[in-house]
Amino acid sequence: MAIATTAPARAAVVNRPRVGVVKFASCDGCQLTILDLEDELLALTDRFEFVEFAEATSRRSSGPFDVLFVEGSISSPEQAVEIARLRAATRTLVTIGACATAGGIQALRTAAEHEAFRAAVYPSPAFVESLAVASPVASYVNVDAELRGCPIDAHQLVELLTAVTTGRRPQLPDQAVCLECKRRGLECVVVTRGEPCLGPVTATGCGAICPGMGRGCYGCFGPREGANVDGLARWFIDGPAMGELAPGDVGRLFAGFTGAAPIFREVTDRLEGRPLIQLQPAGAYPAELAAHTPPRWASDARETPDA
Amino acid sequence: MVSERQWGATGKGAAVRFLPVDRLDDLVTALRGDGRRVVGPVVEDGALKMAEFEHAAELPFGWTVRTAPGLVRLERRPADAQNADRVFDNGPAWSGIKPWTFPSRVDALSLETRSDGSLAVRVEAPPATATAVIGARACDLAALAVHDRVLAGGPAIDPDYPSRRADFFVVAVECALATSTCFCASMGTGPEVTAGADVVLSEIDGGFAARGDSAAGTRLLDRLALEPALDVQIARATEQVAATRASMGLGVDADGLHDRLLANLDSPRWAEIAERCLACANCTLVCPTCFCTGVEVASDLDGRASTATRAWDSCFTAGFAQVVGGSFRPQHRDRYRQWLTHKFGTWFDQFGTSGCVGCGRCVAWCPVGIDVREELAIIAGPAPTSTATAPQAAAPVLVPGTRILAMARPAAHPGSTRIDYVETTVAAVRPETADTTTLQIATDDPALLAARPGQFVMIAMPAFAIPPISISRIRLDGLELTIRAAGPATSFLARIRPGTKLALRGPLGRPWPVEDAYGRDVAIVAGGIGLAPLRGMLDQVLAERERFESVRLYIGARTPRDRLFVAELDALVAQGVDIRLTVDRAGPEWLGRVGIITELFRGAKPTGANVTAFVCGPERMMTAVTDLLSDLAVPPEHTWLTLERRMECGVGLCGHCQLGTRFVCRDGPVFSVAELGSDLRQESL
Amino acid sequence: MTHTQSGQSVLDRLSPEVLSRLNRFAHDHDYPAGATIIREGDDTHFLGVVTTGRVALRLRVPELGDRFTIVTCEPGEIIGWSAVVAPFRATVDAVATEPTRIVAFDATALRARLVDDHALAAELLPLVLESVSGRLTASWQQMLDMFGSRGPEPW
Ligand SMILES: Cc1cc2nc3c(=O)[nH]c(=O)nc-3n(C[C@H](O)[C@H](O)[C@H](O)COP(=O)(O)OP(=O)(O)OC[C@H]3O[C@@H](n4cnc5c(N)ncnc54)[C@H](O)[C@@H]3O)c2cc1C
Ligand code: SF4
Ligand code: SF4
Ligand code: SF4
Ligand code: FES
Repeated sequence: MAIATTAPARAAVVNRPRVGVVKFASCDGCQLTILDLEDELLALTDRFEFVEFAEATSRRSSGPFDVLFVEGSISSPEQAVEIARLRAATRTLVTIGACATAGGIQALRTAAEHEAFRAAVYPSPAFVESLAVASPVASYVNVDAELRGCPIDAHQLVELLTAVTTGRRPQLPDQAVCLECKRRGLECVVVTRGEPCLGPVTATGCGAICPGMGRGCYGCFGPREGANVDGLARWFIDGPAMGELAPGDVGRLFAGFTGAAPIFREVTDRLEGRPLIQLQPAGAYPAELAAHTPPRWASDARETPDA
Repeated sequence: MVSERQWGATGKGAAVRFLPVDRLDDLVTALRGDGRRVVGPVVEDGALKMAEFEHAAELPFGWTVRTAPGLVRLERRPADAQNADRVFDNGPAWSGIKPWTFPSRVDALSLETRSDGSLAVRVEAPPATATAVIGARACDLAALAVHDRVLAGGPAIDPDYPSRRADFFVVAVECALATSTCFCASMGTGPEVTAGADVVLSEIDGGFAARGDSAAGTRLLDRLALEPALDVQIARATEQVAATRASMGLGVDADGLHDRLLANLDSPRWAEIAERCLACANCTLVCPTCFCTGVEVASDLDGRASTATRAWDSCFTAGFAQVVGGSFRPQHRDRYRQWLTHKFGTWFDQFGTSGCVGCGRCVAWCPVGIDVREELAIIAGPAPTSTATAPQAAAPVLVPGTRILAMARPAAHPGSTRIDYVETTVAAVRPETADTTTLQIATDDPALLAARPGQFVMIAMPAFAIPPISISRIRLDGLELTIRAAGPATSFLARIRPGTKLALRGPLGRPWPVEDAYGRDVAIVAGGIGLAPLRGMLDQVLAERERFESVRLYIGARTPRDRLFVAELDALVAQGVDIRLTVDRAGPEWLGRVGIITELFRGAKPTGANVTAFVCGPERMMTAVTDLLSDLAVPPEHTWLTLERRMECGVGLCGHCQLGTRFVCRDGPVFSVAELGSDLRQESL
Repeated sequence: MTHTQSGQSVLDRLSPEVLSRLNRFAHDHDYPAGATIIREGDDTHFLGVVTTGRVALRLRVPELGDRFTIVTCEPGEIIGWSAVVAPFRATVDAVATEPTRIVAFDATALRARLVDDHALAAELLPLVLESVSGRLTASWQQMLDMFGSRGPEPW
């Protein structure tokens, strides 16, 4: 349903939730998606106070944030500490885009690729202190919600903010792209053309854009719940209804925008015959994050009985 | 199978005509002239899809199809091939009729808080749109009949389906080509079109043998002023469909399949399939009979107005069987088993027919080519007296030899099929614990006031999901609901202010059979929030106290602070009611009993033959308690449980709450241990 | 609330012969509410059966500032099984929450007797085992925290 664009007078909204948008290693695609929300933007700014928006304003704030959108992956020790600080200042932390949720295309910068990539991309390699890998934000701090995709889907963003204002949980489906494909009445490209498609193992949310254009899904929303990546890869390699696909080619299918997601990465590495790579470098985990959580039952029982 | 509706055996006045191929467009035009949209197979992105079209020329003349598990290839027939230009020799269109009668997304409910605080609730029902479908196959019609039964055959009737189905004209085609994935003959649904069509066509040289199978169909053919078909043309049509039947390949051995399948819930094959199955749900969404739906809620930014959309869902998704604390079917294995056993097994118990019509879509459109025919043969094994898998005479949809286990369902209870909401007011709010609140709901709705303990209501409020909540007390002026904040909707309810309006639907489900305990000892066993649905029953037992022998209440709570209805129960204890309470854990200040609820029965003697027990709590607790009660000789038919399952509709239409043959919402949520049998313990059913 | 125990006492399940042999080293102990009966880590001096009252078995968790009741022993139930299981050391604190009477069988005498008196051992030990296994399975169920809720969400 359409979002009401006739917002009540700004003054009527007391205590507008404070929203921040910050960016680590990423392109700006996802932030641009937010700015592209022309119709809804007015209504959104009426209800939310954007205290930090790396792309839209030059305002800077250290928080606290009611909602903080984090774009990009973590690829330097400073960033790891910064994300920990931001987490502490945030009620609802939402990662946006494939970079933040699964490491994104930056996650290509692993092991051997790292040096070559850094030399090629940055004018002065020594200047860039980057970790040997780029990791999803969630491997450093607790993430309350993920807006996936590369770039993210604007409607999911609005859904999330609506959920925050109304106090419900955002509906961010964790089903396969196939469901959306079939609901839209699209023909399956695997079945009609033998074209590989990551839809069955990818979370929906994009509205099945690629199958809608006759292409296989690239997996930009990342793995869905219970993704049977092995089953799919096996079929692409051996399935009698599929064309000729070499294991390495199938492996590379999973190495797209969300290729750093462990379950995708594992297929790629295995099929390309590479050793498995530990994503989170040892020692990069800031000590600030080591929270002590007592067993829950004990902490509850401590509450004084009212008998 | 020879029915009254066959080419050779048409009654008087329904003679077979001949429709020349160049007059097919006249048929389309006539239908459109009646104000109908016309839907038929058209080529789209490498497959045939049932889509709206204007002229016969848009139909797939000259196309044929090749299918295999996980493969569909639409191909042009070579110009010199036999029947090169035929239009319908290309199998069932993949999307079938379902999107037209049961669209993938429909508006189900809209809610708005008006400026005076009152609530506008509307159950959406679409205006009937006259539709004609051309090119439906026998399997499509069988599937339509299944949907008619499921969605409009009661007890509850879907608010959307009947109007889409109301003015629906069907021009069916008898298949002259069986694809390699077709197996209608073995399911007894085709390839002959025997029921459900208005007009039946059989594509023969130069056109179609056409017969009217309904009054409207015959009238339409009359209007077209067609010549009668020649005897040789009629014979051709008859032979052709017989040849299709004979050419059909691998089938399903439907004889006694229900029993054979359900006897193999523990087959190791389920786990093997799970290695291949992606749980992608394609099979369920292309299946013309799958009817499961979920509700999606969208709201404006203020949360004052929202729409609930009903969308196709599938038992292959994680959320499908999700409740507080997890999914009842966490693994692909469990989900595949639900799909196959439902289609080919428990569907009979629920609806008296097979859930499969043999169209083969799930085989062809499975992206990894899993073939139900093969899996059934492996899992269910051969029928004991099975003769041949070769095509045999079609059986009716209800396969003989199948034992129908549970068709005798408990009668629908008053209001329990309700699909409309009533506006009610929160009259008072009483916090019970840190996370649990009792709401007193004022209403004068007669059905709600006639609710019985153990029934539940669905609560709609703008912007939130629609949760099922048990009735915890029935008052003269309304109901009480006791709600634990488990997630967003329940947290909202637990914080609600008096005066707020809520839309309620119900009472739904089967109540506690209090009568079963007349003249017997009553044991009420409640764990956690499970006390809420039992509270109304306790009210009733105490109100009719003289009809029962002893009455005992066993209550387990997590900690002393999590006890519900403390003052109320203390008052009852003071009146001499036997109430035993234990908490799972406590601080040193708590002087009462600590230990899990089964400890309350420690040392009890097996003298429970005269006891009727009513149990509610987490399922793990209920199985522990039922074990114990059976040790104490409480008869299983006198041990009653109320089950929690994911519920979206509450009336048996959405499929979420299935437990084997049952819809927990409609056939339960209250069941006796005897009724549940081994299903209570069957893992991830 | 009432806490009547309708169940059968462990003592009722012993044969009269075994009971009379046990009686030779049995003593009734009375404890006022709040009394500590057994202290965690101490040697367990007796195997007992609660006859009246209630005993809370508690664990001390100093970091969390207090003790937690894990389970209560009700009339008819065994207390102090560690008296017959090596290393004969109490695993919890046992505290009377009400005025409580316990029939206690002296640990040293009982252990000596169990070595010689096989009939007594054959009757008594299964009951001890039953009690321990009951507490064990109960602990599993407690660990599941069935009535518990998930942590808070930000919505
Ligand atoms: C017959 C029945 C009677 C119930 N009675 C009560 C009651 O008296 N008091 C009470 O506090 N709770 C009751 N519940 C549970 C209650 O329905 C769920 O806690 C509620 O749906 C959670 O919704 P939510 O939006 O608050 O939380 P969500 O976070 O949306 O849900 C929390 C969990 O509940 C599951 N859930 C969501 N919607 C449903 C649904 N429609 N049906 C079942 N599970 C769902 C979710 O999958 C999730 O795991 C009952 C459930 C059933 C099936
Ligand atoms: S189960 Fe498969 S073959 Fe049977 S009706 Fe459904 S889609 Fe067709
Ligand atoms: S539960 Fe049955 S009807 Fe629903 S999706 Fe699964 S197989 Fe289809
Ligand atoms: S059987 Fe095939 S179509 Fe169905 S869920 Fe499994 S992989 Fe998907
Ligand atoms: S079928 Fe919808 S809740 Fe039971």
